[in-house]
Amino acid sequence: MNYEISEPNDPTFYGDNIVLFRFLAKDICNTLDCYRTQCKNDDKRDKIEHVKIRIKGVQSLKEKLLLRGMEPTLKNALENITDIVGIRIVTSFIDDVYKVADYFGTLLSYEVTIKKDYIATPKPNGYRSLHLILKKEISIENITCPLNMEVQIRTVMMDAWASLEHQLKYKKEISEKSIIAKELKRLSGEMASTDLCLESIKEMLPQKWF
Amino acid sequence: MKLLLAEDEIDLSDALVALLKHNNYTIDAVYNGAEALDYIRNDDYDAIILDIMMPVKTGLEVLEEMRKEGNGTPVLMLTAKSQIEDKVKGLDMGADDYLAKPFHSKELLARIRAILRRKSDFLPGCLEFGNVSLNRSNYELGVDGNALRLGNKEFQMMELLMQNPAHLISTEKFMERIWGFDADAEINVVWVYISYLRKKLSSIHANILIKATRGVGYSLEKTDD
Repeated sequence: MNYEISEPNDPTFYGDNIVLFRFLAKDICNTLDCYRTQCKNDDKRDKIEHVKIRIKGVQSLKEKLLLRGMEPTLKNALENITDIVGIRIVTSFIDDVYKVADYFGTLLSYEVTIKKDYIATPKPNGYRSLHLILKKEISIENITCPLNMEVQIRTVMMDAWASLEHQLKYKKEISEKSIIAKELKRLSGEMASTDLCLESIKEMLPQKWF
Repeated sequence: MKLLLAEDEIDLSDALVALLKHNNYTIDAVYNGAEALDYIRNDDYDAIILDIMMPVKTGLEVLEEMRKEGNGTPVLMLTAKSQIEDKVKGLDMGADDYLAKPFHSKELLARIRAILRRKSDFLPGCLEFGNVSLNRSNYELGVDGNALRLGNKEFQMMELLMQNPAHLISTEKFMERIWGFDADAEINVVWVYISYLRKKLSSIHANILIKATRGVGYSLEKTDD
């Protein structure tokens, strides 16, 4: 499968490290490919709808550091920011979210250092998703260093919701923000409810289809 | 129409039972507050007549407990004439009407007809059982911050279960109350909606579950942990 890795417009801030980030991004893509092939062989169904991978934009990285009260330096970024490489995995059903997350837990080359389940406990605004922070020792030529990456796993519905919420958060010119936020929160509960109905129906159908 | 009469004066109770039966009501008579609560929890009445001054539990205590449990059955309180405080308290706690003793039988019958017309007027905004709440204004089923919005039929089923916790509700009753007698739906639609609700309860980490009794129906129970 071909994954397009989106990169910052001007990655000079990252210096030579960009090579490591690209390496990590490619590695996780290969890992996912193995998983998808394995799924298709085992139960004939690819659990993943689509995947997005990106190396964090420099502007948003600096803003994140400043927001945390840190100087926007490369050293601070490498030491404190865990989502310079980020991957979003979108699945059809809720139990697929957990199956994909479990898969990452079985990998020897990656360590799951943090798991945040915003599906079991949604954020106050209604955000639902499962987040993992993965750590991997990267060795290129004679250098070995640990790198972090963030994995967000969610259903198609949660993803559609999150993309709207993201716009609401970052676009300043939206009027009626509070009513939209309230509606999004309501819809989040409705969509989660529908996700669970779909899951129930899936379980009623012969399991060989899944 | 099925009524419950809770009145500890045996003579008055017997007279009322005779009067109500004569007027085509089905009636259960009990003689103290604790008995009244038992009957209320185990049966489905169209209206309840509660005397305030009763042994074991007063009529006000019975009213308070049944409303807390989400039971919205219309209640007519019987009070002694001077007990203004009791009347106010009873009405504020969700009684639908009161009648001061002594009263004329015609007035009692008229007031019963009136509260039956207003049936389901009193509804607590939120039903609670275990760690789960069901909000009647936005149809959300939730535990702490995690709330799911239920669809119309799902909400009605959950409402029926939460109004009667730990009581077996038959599949036919769900059908009759929610889909109606003449619905096109087949009876196994109940099982589909029970599956939805079960999935939702487990996803919000509820400490209650819907237990099935094979061939009979479903009941809402607390889990052991």
